[in-house]
Amino acid sequence: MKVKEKVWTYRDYLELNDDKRYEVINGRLYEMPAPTVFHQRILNALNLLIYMFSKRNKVGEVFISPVDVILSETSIVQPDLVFISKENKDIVKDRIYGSPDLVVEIVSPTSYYRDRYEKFRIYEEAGIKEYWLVYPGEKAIEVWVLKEGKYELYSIASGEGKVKSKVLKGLRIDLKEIFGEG
Amino acid sequence: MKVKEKVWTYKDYLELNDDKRYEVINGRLHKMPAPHFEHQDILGELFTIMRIYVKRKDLGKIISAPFDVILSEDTIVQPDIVFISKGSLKNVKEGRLFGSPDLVVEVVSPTSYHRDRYEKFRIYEEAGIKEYWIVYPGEKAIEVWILKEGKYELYSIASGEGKVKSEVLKGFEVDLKEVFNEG
Repeated sequence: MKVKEKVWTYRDYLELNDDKRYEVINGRLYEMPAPTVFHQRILNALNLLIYMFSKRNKVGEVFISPVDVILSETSIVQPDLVFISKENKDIVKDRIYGSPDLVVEIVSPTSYYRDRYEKFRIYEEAGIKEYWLVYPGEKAIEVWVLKEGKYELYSIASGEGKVKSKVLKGLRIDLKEIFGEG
Repeated sequence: MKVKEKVWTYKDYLELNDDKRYEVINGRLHKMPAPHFEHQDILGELFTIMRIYVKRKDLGKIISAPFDVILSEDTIVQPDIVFISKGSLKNVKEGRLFGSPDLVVEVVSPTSYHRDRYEKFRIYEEAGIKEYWIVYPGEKAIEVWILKEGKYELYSIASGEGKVKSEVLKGFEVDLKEVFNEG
């Protein structure tokens, strides 16, 4: 007899109380290791720019992880950074119930597959308009934008150059500001 | 009047003689900077493991860059590693490969990320290269893409730890530890 794997739901997730960080993706539970200093340094730099932009232009609100985003009964994620537009602000309660307008994930060896392929599909299906993938090792940023329900590569830079956002109109980020010089 | 950008061909490529490395992709000339230590270290490990496997099984040849692969009149590349099966060795002429290798490996760097992951991905797909390995040193990840009905599908992937396997090189698998030197 085959033992069926447990399908994790939002309710099960809330009952976890071991002080570790988890995500639930399509009913599967993933433990999230603590991020490294390199990861956090990049997140700080990105957050500073995106937060300032969003505040100055009064377009919405920015949160950095850990914050729960409940995309569905069986998909609860903690993206590295989320932006929620003013128009969408009703999804922000004690947690975020629904799809943010923009999500950023900073890739690491332990999260590469999940971020690049699994969450990519989850975010696409959830209708998240823009998905940024940041690759610290290759000093690269990709900006994916939803078009007819599928992500299309909207902006990309690696090594040097700038990337731009579609959701945050006018936001351009120079890789130097994120990864430092050289 | 708009000035048309030069379309580079194989003939133009052969006439370059400034001792630098170039690739021509869809008629556009790309200069290739000298690779860094880390890139060469990882490439060396993977090359050695693949070369020994292919030699022992007598499957063909594993060659590392710089080595010209002429995919078409306006696309000349120098992949980091190419596997040329026994049956394809006849396409090696004048020290270059005219046509598609059976397997290609690219080790990504900040200067090549976009080209390797998207531009060459499409080029290799169109050229009918059966298997494409992309190695990401920063993320300690390897992806193995294989051609299925003319499109690449992700066949094997590992990051951080684990193994990836090949379809073209039957029975070949490699542990990330061997390529990325443990830590």
